[in-house]
Amino acid sequence: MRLIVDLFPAQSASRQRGIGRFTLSLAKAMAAQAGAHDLRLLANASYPDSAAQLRAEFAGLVPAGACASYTHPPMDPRNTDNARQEQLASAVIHTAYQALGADALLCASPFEGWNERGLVPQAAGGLPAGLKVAVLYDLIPWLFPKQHLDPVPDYRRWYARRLAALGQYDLLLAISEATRDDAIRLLGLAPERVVNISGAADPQFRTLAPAVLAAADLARFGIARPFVLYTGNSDYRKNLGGMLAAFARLPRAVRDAHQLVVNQVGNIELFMLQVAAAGLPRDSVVVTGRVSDDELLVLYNACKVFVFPSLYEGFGLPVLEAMACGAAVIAGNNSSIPEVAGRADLLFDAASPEAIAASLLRALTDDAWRAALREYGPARAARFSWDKTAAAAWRAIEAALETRRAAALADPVPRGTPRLRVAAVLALPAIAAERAKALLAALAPYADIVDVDAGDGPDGLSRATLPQHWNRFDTVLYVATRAALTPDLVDLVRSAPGVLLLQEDAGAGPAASVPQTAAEASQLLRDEGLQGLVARHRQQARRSGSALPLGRSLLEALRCLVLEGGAVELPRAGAALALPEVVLLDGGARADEAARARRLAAALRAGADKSWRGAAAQIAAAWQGAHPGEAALDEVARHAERNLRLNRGARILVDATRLVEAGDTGMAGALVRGMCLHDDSPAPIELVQPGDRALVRAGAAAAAIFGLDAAACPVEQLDIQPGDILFLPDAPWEDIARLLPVFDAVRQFGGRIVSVAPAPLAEGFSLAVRHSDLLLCPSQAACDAAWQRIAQDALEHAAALRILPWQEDADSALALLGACFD
Amino acid sequence: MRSPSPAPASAPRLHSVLVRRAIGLVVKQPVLRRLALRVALRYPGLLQRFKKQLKDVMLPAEAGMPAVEAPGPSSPATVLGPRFRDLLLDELQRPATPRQQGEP
Repeated sequence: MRLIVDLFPAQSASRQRGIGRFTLSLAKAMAAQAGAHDLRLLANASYPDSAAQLRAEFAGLVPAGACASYTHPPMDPRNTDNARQEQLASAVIHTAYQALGADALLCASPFEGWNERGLVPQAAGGLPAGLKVAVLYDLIPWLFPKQHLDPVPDYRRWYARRLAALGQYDLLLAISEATRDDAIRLLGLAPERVVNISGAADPQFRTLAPAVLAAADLARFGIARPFVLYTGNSDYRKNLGGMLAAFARLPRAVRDAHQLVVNQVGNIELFMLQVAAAGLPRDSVVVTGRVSDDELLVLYNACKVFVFPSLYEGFGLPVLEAMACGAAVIAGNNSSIPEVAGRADLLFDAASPEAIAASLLRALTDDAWRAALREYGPARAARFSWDKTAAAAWRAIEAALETRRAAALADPVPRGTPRLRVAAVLALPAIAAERAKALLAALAPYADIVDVDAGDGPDGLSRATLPQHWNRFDTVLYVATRAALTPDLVDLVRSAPGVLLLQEDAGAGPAASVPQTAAEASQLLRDEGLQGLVARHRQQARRSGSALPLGRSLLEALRCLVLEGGAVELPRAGAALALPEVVLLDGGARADEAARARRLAAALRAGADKSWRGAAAQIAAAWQGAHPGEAALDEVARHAERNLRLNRGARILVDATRLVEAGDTGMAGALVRGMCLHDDSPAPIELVQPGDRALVRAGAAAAAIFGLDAAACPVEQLDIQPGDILFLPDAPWEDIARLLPVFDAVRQFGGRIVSVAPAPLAEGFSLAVRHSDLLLCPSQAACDAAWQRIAQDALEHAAALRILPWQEDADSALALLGACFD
Repeated sequence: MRSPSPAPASAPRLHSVLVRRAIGLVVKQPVLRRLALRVALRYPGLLQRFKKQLKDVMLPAEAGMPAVEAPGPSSPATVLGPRFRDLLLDELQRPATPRQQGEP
């Protein structure tokens, strides 16, 4: 299963709150359990800092290219009534989802985008991924409209749109049983569509050793006595007022012996007035302000009692965090809190200050009970873990997908499915073509088929004009044998993408020959890299297509691949390449022709759904009939084309600037030669140099190294693709400005920058450290010296920077670069 | 766990919402925008207090945030099928269907 997780909730204002933490923890645990599943993490490039942090978080967890970014025309956070802007941004983000052609999409929080430059696209309007899944935290704004919705009418409208769109998701992952019940009760959702996956505390919340705790400086907060801890903010439902009232109701002797510690209270002056109004001395309440996780850990461990008087929660994470730290916890008896707390005697009626005070008094004065609560906490918290939550999420998504697949298998073309308009290209020997025509005739109930080669199509439709007529059809069906997949046909598929029905044949591709034209050479370079081109020129037998039976340039263009007999194996190519959906047609008996036609019709429908046309139609719909200006059209098209590039496969891009400048074919040339002639390179290799804000193929340098004709390796712009590894054996650090946009693009597409480190005292060293994800040094001692210089001069570097020794040869380089794809 | 939402209608929060809207109106006018920036720079306390609101309404560079550039045009070799811009134009010229009119 290929699953997209949109990480935007870990970038928006929610990133500092429970939703952001939940998103990150869930995604990390799911990545660790992905196994054979192909997990794709997407961040929003409008938030470059948090996108970079997310890439660093996942650098060691997912292969290069699996954590990338999408872009979209930025939203205007000033405009809070921006349904049209939202629809446009959503449609452009959909292009990124569409490029990956995922089986399922996990939206980590459907309520994101208010007052933001980005958003989580709404399910309404059709998400292109197969199964639409969202995490549901709570319905609190709807349950407390007076506090959350009524004050801001624009927000009420915005929230209502998002709430209505919840019904469009195939599966909701609720973070508690209480939230699940709310979704079923309040939204009327079918119980089987809402699954509780629960949540967990971050493992950093744990009991501290007494010595560590004793060394903690609590006095700097103003804490001078045993204290009661409260961690809610000034939000109405967190019930700070109830907490103050309850603390004030404690018997004076008990109250004077303790302090109440709170952190975020909103307006401090207003809060101190409330403290005074409650009759509490000023020093009995300590306001810490926002605290770091490390400080919170100490406070949880050091408090005498932790009180959680919230009136409503989606989960109640602070309860679990405090329990994990061994705090004596008492909490409100409402919403999800009882299922998290797991014990009735620690619950109170949060709406009643008297009830809170009574429970708090018992916790402060009944030593035996408090000790029992302290002992109970860590054991209770241990029953929740991110591993369990991630496993539950994977299980729920797998089950929903299985149900969907079974339904599709039983009824591939449901009643009401609209007829398709399909252009067909038959590239087959005569006998096979007759058989294919019979199959196409059987498609009549589902599709109008126009044979491109028959000469009876509209407006002189032919193979040559198909790219111009492409948008008149829902999709194009190519029927071919492997032998018919010539460069010309592949070029046609790239110009007019669609569905390929691959007929059974002897299994051999077209004969390997030296490319005759620049287009053929470019295609070969896309499929197999420089190593493939060199092999052709040297007339060496080389396994086809970088271990892919079908070339990358063909697979990139296919929306769906239909196989007869399932004879083709489609392994993952290195990393990142999003292979098209594969549909198997059973057998070949004529008796089954109707069934085969139904399956083919379903594949054509899938191909049509994944056509760019759908994405373009959604964007056009967002403009709602208004014709946008040229600049807006250009901008949106650039974003869309950039996002649609997310389905491409990773390459190794070797910077050849020095080779181009000096014509040097010495050591650097030998390294490139060795890499390209290597039997086991993990991805196609391209020799590149910086051009105008982009990379271009260093064709002349490549030709010189391998003694080829100057025209053999065409120069063209190479856009960055997901997972690309930019290898800088001898980077032009003195002229780094030209490479900065390229570095940015590599990172946005989840790639890595690998440099051979200059000597620690050399001028380029600090730049290499700053811009690289992996630095290669000639020995372990050199690696140590590099770290020493970094520490000494406090050099800026990527959080996930690694410095590794290499043997300065092709074997070593390819092994280390290949590890980036694992 | 808390849903993304404005905080409840406590007085300070509502005040912030109003201030944000006022700033939003001001910065749409270039002259007023320059004036507002001068005032904000003259009174650092004010800048600090409404930092978030100002950040929302200022251009990224003004607010000290890294600007995001629109991606450059993809090379013809990367584009699969017709250029997306042509498809958009084509779709914009089609007669609107109910779905295109914004219905889910």
